[in-house]
Amino acid sequence: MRNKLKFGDFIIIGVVLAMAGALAAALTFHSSGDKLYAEVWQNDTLIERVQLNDATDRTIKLDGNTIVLSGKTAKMADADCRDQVCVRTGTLTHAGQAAVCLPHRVVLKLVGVNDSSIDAVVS
Amino acid sequence: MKNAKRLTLCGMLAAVAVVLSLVERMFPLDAIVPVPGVKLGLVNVVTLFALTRLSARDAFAIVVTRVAISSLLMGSVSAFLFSLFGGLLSLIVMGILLKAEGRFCSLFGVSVGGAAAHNIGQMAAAVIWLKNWAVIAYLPFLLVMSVPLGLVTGLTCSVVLHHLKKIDFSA
Repeated sequence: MRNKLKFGDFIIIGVVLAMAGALAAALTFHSSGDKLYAEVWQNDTLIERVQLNDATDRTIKLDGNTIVLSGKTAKMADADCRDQVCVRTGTLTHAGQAAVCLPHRVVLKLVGVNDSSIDAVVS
Repeated sequence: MKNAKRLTLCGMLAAVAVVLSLVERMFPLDAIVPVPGVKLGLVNVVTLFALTRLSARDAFAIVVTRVAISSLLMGSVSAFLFSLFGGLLSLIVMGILLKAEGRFCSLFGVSVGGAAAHNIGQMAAAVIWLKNWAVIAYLPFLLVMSVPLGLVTGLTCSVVLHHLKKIDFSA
């Protein structure tokens, strides 16, 4: 019978999982990466797109929400709605994170734009 | 094996592979696992079978035929490229691993390696096609998924081979 797992099988599975882990680790290190943009959407339209760098210090006031961009982070500092979910989301630091305010249909998200220098990930 | 017989067998296997890739689309696996590109990998059974019972050359021909036909039936140019890269890389890796099959590992390991290689190849094609490294973020998830899915394919293949051993192909 061939359906017995052999020692080498576990090595292969281990190698695959290790590759996945290493890649995931490498990506989380690099994902805050080269260029980070904060996007503010309201009612499905993009109303503000700001490139974040260490010197960024800006407050965007919307009807009901206050967004604070500071350094390479962004947060929904204040909202006048009842649930406060977006405020409790806290400070966004990585590309892909988002704070959503459903009552006002406001989405604050961080978007990473990678240019070619991210080649470092695979090297 | 006679040439005509080999050709027929290759054609049949390619047809089976096309059907399997159609069947595969009926399982909405990406609904359960929210990563685009997650597939059962049933076509790997055919590749693995061709590698074990025929030759690497025949398996290569089957993979290329299968990819061409199934993307004509339901894919786009990008889908063609993705599956071609994935299929060929998985063929190469499984071919190498099969050399060690029996002593070092079993069909399960070969199949998991093939599934992982398929994902890596697909990702490589995606990176080249989209000219964007960001898609690689999916790869860790796909690699983790390739372990259970590869085990399932390996099980299928070993059952199939076990039963087909009773049929004399080389006549």
